[in-house]
Amino acid sequence: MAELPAVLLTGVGYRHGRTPALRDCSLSVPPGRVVGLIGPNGAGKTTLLHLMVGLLRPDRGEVRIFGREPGGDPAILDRVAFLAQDKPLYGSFTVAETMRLGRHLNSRWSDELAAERLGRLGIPADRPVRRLSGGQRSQVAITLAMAKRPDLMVLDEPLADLDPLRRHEVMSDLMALTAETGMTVVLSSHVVAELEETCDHLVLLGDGRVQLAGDLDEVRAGHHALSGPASLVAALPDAGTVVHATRTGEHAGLLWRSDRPPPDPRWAVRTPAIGDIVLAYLRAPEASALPRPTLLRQVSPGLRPVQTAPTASEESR
Amino acid sequence: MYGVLEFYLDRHAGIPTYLQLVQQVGHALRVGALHPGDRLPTVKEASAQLAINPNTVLKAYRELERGGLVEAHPGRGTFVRVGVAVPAVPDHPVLRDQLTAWVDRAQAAGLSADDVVALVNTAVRRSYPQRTGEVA
Amino acid sequence: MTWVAWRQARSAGYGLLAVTLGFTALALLERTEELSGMTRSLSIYLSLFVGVLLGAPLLAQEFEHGTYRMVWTQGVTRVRWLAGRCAVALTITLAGTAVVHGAVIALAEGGRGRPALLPAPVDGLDTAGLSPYARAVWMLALGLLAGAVLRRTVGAVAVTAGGWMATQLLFDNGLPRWVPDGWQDDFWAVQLGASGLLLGLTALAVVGTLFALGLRPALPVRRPAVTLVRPTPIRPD
Repeated sequence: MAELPAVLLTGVGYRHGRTPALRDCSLSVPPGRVVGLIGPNGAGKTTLLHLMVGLLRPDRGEVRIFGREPGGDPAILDRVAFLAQDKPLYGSFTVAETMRLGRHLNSRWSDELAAERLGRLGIPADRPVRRLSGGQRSQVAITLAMAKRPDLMVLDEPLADLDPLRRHEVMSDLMALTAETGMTVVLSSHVVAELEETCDHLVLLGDGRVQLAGDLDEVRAGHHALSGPASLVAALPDAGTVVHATRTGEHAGLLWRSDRPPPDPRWAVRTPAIGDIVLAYLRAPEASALPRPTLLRQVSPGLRPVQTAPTASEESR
Repeated sequence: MYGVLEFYLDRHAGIPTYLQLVQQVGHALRVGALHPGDRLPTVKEASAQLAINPNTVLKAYRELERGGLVEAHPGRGTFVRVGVAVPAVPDHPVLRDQLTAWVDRAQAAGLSADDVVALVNTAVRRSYPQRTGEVA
Repeated sequence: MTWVAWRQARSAGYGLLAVTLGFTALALLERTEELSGMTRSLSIYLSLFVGVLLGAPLLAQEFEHGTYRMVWTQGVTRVRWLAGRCAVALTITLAGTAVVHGAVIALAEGGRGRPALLPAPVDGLDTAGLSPYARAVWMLALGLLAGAVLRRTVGAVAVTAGGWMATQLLFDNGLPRWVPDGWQDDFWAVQLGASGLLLGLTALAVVGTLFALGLRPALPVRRPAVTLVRPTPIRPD
């Protein structure tokens, strides 16, 4: 089953002028996943998403969407929908004209989907977009992306400016469309809780690097929350790595990454929640590179960010 | 018909979402809200209703299938199996009425819902020591 | 694409229509009043309006409002989108120029039976023959380039206006002196020379715009290196 990944990044680097925004990012997303792209503000999430949809070209490395370079390829443009963070639309267009734009520019456009959704949300078709409320504008932009019926839907902080009810509406429609079409979804957020019920794949971005990427179940299974005597930390097996540790006197609590828990029975082992794992990585921005740069390759296959042949970036290590 | 069963999500329960769905189907069968032959919500309906990943719903349905509670008819949906042994709660209206009356008395005595649940949990644990987990 | 491009050019088109109507009103006035060729002398400003109303905002506004991220991720390529928008803008530009320079000036001057066509070659460079069209197209392209580079409407408008003045300076002072002696009397030689120069600048501006948008003009395609993909693990569900 050699299915092409929906999203494949190999050794991608990107600079905004002189400031490096992304460094050596590699990840592979199988089709059909709902991917949560998590990271603090300024970690490079938006840059990464812009690279995926072809608005930017990487300075180093390669981006492939369903095996092809995004941006200039009409076959890919038709299959990828993008919702930018500020949900830009033409203010002078009416809602109906905005949908007409979608119909004219996309060959797989579904008028029924657009009309049904806008009707259900009670958004007036003849009103200029600039005279809609912020929430309605967002819904129009999301409808524009959905009615395109993409194979890959890329959303930059789609829920950021919506109230809880609208969030539910958006995620509900998004999940229904995912169930119906089997599309791949990538959505970014800096709030993990937002994505916990919707995502089955996690990409954690910290300071321009991919710290963690993999299916949620595998990420969960590959990490263990340990608590026990601090004296045991040094004796932990080599086959794992400490992501984050806290010490209170003689007691240590740590997040340990390994495909199996430590054999020493003096450790109390718990399966950590995704939120705790993410938090541990965010507190240790260098965690993916420590202590041995090759370590990521030794743990369980799901945590392996790269599923490719050796690339230039690997050889340069 | 769809509409019989509406899933809900307890985001603070600490129970995996798919397991909550599995438990809710079992519970609905037990209290008679769901009958053999009934159709469960489609994956699309359930994931839209709860705004959760469709794979989570699929996982729950597969788990239910493995347990022999439901069967999938491709193209038509997932149905509660005909002939599935429905546990006996609906057959004990007396017990149910007594419990309802007891809960009313507890409420009248000023107990909160959490107090009631804690009391019930304690009682269940005492009588069914092999069972793990909370009632609610 | 065509509908989208028309819809997006609509307000700029109305602006240019208003300018054209203004010229027409002036021309009607000139038929009855002695305005000493005011319509003709003011017509040189038409290309300024083209650059400022149509050219400069075309890309600058997309960047300013962030809408390029919406429209460039629809199902048509950036090149096709740009081509569509340019085609519509060009049509409006040429139509406006044809109306003003072909009809309105004739309307203003025709009343008194003045020879409207083929005035003295260098004097008529501004307002007759091909060069008004070439100049309008050049202003459109300069506006595009300024918008693509500066990404701000105000800045793009300022640069375009500056470019218009530089072009005018060139026509008023520089150009007549460069024209070889024998050609100065040949209307079409002067016209073709000047128009050729402007269209050359236009071509440069278009190439510059493509570069600024990150669109490499059709060079031989670099084949992407083959990427081997390992079979993805079957999902544990």
